[in-house]
Amino acid sequence: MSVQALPPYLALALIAVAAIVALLYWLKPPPRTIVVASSLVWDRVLRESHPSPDRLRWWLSLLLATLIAAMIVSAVLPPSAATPGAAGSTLIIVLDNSPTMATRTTDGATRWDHAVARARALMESRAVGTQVWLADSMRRVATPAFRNRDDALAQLASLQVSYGLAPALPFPEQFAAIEAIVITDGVSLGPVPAHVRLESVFESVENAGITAFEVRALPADPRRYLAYVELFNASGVEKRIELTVVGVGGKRISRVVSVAPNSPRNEMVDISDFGGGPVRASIAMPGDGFAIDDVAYSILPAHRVMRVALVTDGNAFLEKSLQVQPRVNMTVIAPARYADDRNYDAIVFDRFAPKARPHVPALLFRPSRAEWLPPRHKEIANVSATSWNTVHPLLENISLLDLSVDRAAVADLRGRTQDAEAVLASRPGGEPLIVAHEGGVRWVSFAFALDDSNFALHAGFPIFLNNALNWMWGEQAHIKRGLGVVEVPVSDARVMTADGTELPTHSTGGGSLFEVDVPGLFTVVSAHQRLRLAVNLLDRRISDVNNSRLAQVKPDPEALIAAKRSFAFDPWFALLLAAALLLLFEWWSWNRRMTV
Amino acid sequence: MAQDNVLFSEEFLRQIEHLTMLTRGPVAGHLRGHHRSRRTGSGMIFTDYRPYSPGDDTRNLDWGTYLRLDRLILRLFEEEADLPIYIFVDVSRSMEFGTPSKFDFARRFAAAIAYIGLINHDRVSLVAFSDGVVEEMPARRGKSQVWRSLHFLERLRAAGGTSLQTAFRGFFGARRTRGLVVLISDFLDREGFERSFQVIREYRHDVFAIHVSSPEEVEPALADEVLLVDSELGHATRTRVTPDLIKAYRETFLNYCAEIEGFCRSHGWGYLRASTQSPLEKLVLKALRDEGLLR
Repeated sequence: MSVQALPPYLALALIAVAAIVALLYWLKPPPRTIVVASSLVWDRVLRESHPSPDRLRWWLSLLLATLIAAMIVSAVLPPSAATPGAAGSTLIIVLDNSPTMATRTTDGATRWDHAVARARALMESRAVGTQVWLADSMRRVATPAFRNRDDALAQLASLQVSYGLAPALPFPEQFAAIEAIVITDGVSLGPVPAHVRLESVFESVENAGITAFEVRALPADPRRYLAYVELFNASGVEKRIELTVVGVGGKRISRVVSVAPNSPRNEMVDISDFGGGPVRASIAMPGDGFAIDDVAYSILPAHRVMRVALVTDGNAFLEKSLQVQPRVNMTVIAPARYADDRNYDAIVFDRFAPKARPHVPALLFRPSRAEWLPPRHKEIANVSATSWNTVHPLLENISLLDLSVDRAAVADLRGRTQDAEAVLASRPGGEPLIVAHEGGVRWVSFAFALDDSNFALHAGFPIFLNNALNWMWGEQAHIKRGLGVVEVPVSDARVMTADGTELPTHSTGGGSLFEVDVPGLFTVVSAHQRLRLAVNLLDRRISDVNNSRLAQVKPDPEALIAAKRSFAFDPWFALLLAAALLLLFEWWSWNRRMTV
Repeated sequence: MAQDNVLFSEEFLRQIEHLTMLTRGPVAGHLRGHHRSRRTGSGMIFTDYRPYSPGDDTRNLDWGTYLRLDRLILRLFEEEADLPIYIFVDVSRSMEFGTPSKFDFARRFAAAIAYIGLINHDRVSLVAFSDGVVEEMPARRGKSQVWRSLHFLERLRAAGGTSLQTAFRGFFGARRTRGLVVLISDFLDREGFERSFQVIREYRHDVFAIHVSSPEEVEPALADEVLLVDSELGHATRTRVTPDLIKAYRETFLNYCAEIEGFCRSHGWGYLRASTQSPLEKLVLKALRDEGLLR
């Protein structure tokens, strides 16, 4: 620390204090003159003992007094004035706020807490005029810029661990010459430029997490359901983990499993007895340092058999596809014999449409003309779908990329103003190939017959049928998302948590955005739609919190001490404490006549 | 300031009147006294026989032997002589220190011993010394000389440095009868006490050393930075007094005292360390008797 680096008034104050202390030392009274009977014994004593030279003790005493006074002056002046560093200097600090930074370390604080403390200590160690470029790996700071130190400190307080994005370092190339520090645990962060200094907050902890959670019907028996859970042990030793699956109606299944170190383990839990609705899987392991991945949610569909009528002159492919659908009890009816629809839960029309709108949901493939359907516009041939709504529940997990249609009768939606009709897929001219009606009784209409396209040959066709039947029947659709910023295909949606709290949302073109940072079940509600949303972490790369490139790097003890000190003390307190300790030392040394 | 009055209480004087000086061997006094001497004569203690020679005192003939042997045999008796006592009082500047001062204490001590000697008809000489013999009271004998002795002591003033060797050589250089030398001093002699004591040894005197010290010397109440000025030499030493230094001083002082005592004991001399805080009466009546100087 140089005097030139101090603020001028602080430097002047310190010089003045030092001068006063030195003056007081020079003004000390001369030693008392004591006449003794004889100095014979004293001379012997002084010859045999070797007291430290007076001048040395005087200087030591002066140094101590000056230090004590300087510390007290520095402490009572405004804290910022006491901070060393050159005004006008610049510093780049990037904090890694990827999910693994939420890992709790042995001292009870998280890696993120340590990183923030380290960043604060770094900034506070610089002069007031220092310009700090503060950014984070998850781009919370949308537009990082050089700010003064105090503003950067305020900005630091607003940062938090984030989810959903791939962590990245937003280093502008033109700043390569500026001192740059990245504070990270080294788990998720990618390559770091050579000129950047890495400050590690990594500390190995024990962790187990759920990295996959699915609820599926047994293919052999669609009425039976299994919960598929993948557990991952990120600890260095084998762990016994208690897995608990909880469902509607107080159903609960627990088991304790052993998982090898740094290995996954798959568990299947029969939840056929559970009622339809939310299912929660959780794990418990003593000393678990990362809680976000200890719980996951899903939805168990209701176990009901759906009565479906297939109205066709004969379509063996469609007939077989419907028959293999779980929970479907299918009846084939010829169009001529179609009369009453009230005995069915849903009807599939193949190249036929009744004159009146059915009372139950309907799936139509190239329907004949009917008043309740959009009018036909024209016949087109050799078409393919160029755009489709990937977030609609009907097309979830469906790709129409290879769809090839020989001929289709596209409808004209221009005259229709019903908001409830949505185009799910369209060809280059914009003519709709798939139209869905959501108002009142639902229906879905394909502009082409299955025989005129290769759609039935797609791997996703059975999935589409399942999606369609569930959607039409009003089975509450549910979707899954990861933590972070979540987008749902519902415009102007309201998002409610399980306890009824409404989350703030932002509408986008065809959906809504909101942010979730803990796993949970949410309900997305709009005027025409209601969705269940399960948000989970389920990412082994994140659960593997010890897979750090900095695992071999020993933390800098001085940096750790500095960070811990910044937790406990403000600078003025530390200075006062140091002054008190020096006073204590001065008293001790004076009593032993080491000082004057 | 020195205290001029060296008188004692009547009670104390009555007590010490019964005391007599002791020596470790026969004395060489010339006059009749109460102490054994090497000469034979008309004493009370039988020492030997010898044949009668004409002119011998016939009162000492052993008539029983004459009747048995028919020979005249004379009985010899140890003659009792007086004791020459040389009381050396240190009057150097260093003796002025302490409360009460070592100087007053030494004078009173000397007065008490002189009193005892005089009433026992010993020949008492008082010698005041510092860096040489300052003043001397020639040998006096008899109780009538007590006031003269006290007056001599009262007139003394502390001055000068300390040189035991010069004082002893100056005093004993003149022919002196062997006797008892009582040294009352603080023995703060820069030339060392050993050489001085050797001088007395050369003259084969019996010696009793009374080492006077004040409590301030043993436990100096000094603190912080001081300039120590030697009262005799005047030179100053600047030092920082620490508890460790005080401790070292105390040890050195006690070692110095022990050295003097060791020398005296090893040569068969008597030694008494007398603190000015101790009651003089107790020292005379008990300590000196315990040390074998008085009976």
